[in-house]
Amino acid sequence: MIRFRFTHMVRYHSTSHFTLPLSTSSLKDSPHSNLLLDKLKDTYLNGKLVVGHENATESLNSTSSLPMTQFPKNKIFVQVAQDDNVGSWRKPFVKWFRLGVYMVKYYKEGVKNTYRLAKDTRPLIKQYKDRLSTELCKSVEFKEIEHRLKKRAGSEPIELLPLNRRQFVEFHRRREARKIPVFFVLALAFEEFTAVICYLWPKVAPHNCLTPGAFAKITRSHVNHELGQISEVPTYKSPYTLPTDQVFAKLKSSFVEQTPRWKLALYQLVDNKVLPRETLVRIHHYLFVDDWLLLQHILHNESTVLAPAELVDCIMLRQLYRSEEDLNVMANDPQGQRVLVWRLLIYWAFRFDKTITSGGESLFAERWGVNNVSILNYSGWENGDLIGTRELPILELR
Amino acid sequence: MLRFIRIAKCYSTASLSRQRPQFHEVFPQKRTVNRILFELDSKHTFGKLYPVYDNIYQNMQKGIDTEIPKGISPSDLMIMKKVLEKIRHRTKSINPHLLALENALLDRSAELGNNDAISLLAFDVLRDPGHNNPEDVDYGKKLIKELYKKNHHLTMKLLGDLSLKSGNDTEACKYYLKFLDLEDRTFLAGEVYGKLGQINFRKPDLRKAEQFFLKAIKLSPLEYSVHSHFYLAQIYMNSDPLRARVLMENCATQGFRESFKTLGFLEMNYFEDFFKAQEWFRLGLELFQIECFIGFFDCCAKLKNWTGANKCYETMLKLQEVNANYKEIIDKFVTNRQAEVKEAMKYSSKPLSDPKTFESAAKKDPFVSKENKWGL
Repeated sequence: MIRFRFTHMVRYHSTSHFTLPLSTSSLKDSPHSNLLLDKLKDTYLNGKLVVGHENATESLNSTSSLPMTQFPKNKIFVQVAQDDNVGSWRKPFVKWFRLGVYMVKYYKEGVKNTYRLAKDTRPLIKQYKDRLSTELCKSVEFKEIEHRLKKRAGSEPIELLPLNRRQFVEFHRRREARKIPVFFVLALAFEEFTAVICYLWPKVAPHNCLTPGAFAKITRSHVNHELGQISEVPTYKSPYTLPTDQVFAKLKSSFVEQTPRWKLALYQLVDNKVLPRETLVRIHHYLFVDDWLLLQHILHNESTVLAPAELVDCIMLRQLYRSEEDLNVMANDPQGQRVLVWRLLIYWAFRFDKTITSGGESLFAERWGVNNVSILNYSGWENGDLIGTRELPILELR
Repeated sequence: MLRFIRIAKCYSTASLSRQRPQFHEVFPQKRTVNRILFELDSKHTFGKLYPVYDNIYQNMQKGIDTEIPKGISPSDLMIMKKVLEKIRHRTKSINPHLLALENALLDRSAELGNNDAISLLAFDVLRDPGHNNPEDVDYGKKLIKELYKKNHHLTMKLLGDLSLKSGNDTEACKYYLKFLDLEDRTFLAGEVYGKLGQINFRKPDLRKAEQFFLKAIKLSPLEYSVHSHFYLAQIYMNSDPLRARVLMENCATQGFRESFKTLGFLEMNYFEDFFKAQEWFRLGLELFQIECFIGFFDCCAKLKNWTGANKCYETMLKLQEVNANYKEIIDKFVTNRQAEVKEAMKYSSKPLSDPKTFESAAKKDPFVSKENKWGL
């Protein structure tokens, strides 16, 4: 209680110890304490939040910077099988040839898009350097403080940020352009067999040149090993209070900032405390801003259409999947899609409930503490676990 | 009657001259003055200005107008005044004799027609009109009107200050922006940016406030922009604690008392450097800041320095007796940290008076507590 007398003390202590994760039993209690989940549930079940290829919201999605979610092999094979102009004896060769041609075109398009993205986002580099996430995180805080002090009604949207989500994620994805020279040489040398190289070493290719198989390989290497093993909501930990081995474990598993292993080894060798921890802060800021931009759009707009590729990306960055799951398959299957969307909604409902973002009273930093990395990629469900198809009926119960 | 006055005057002069030290005793070192003169871009050196200082110092008590040598202009007199002002800021102490000399320099400069000096004197009158002659107030207003028409930069700034003091932020903003139109790359502009930052911080328009504070820090030396450093650190505290720490440390170097507790809590709770936090809290303890006592106790408890924790707790109890406001806080503190307080009570900072007990304790546990971080 004494903390409430000193505002500067409140900043480093969170109210997270009052929070319980969501669970099947808590959802059965009516009314349950998480108002944001109710709001998001209504939005989703009323069709205001949709996942689909068509009419994807332009200010949110940047599909050209993401990999394909469906491998076109079967589609091409069927097309060739039905093509009467191709002799039946030639069909097996034509099938593979057309797939090869498709892949070459796909890579060409991917490299072109990555280059264009890097070129288009160059002005932002001058303005923000590599501090975009931190700057936007600060902007969010400013806007929320102003919103709170001006005592606006909770339903009124908070002032927008200078960038929309599409620009924000594109700025982040521009770093894939570094892979272009090596990949270009590989593609020249191996042509249609580049797919095999990319399958064996998927991180060689720019992100939007990946096949679903290669992508699945990457997702498996970034899986969250703590899933289902966290019995209580983790207490506040700043990046500097987190034990060093946990900092490195988080950096290794995170896909937001892919720190090379040699860099991590160097940090360990020279016992650098600041750089790995500041990387962790950047990861936290990126996810916070991304969550905030998505939530603002979902809560204050009549329709939000998220492309399946963006849904997969959101789930992957937040590590809301199991190692055996293929996200691309799930994103293209209606039931799997529902599971992924609910995982995202639960994650947001847990983090942002009672914050100004969702019409509450406290800032995110006040609710969870400054740069609280202990809840980084915490699923929000009981035991830090993920929901599956079994929980869908309870979640979608009206 | 006249005789009486003459006797009284002689007596007062004699007593004052007895009280007044020699000029060379109060005036700062040549090296310091030369450095400040260089910073202020003065065209004269110590050698040339020292006799002028000395003359004015000697004559100001007698009430005689000092004759200013030919090469010294009224703006040079203002620079001489600024030298003394800077020394006052840096040493954070006021020498009444030097302050009187500062005023004498200002008066002399105004008499010789320096607009800055006139503006300063006029605003001095207007700042407290109740304690000044109505004629002086009217004359001051007249002078300011004339200077305003001439677009005199310092007048704009002082008008802004006056509006700010009366709580009219909009008006203050208007004058400050006018000042920045006239000059925006000087120390004074840095100060104005700092004030604009504070106005926007109160509004709140934090983005603008941040930009103004950054400009203030860029233009003003640290000693004049401590507030800007502090506010900026507050702005960055949630999103960029690393930067906030640097800014707050800058404030601490200037002895800004609010910075000690903030730095202490930042080091303790975010960076988890308990030794450093303890040092910041220790500085706060000397200023009797209750938050620093709490922080220091927590640090001691984390470091298992129970003797230190006990000492701190005992001082808090003494403080509670002196200041009733702290009683409620300390009561809550005790309730919240029952286990730690209980543990701390077992230890005492006083040496063991009974040698037998000490011997038996030493036999049981030969470990001697090492209080500092080097284990010495």
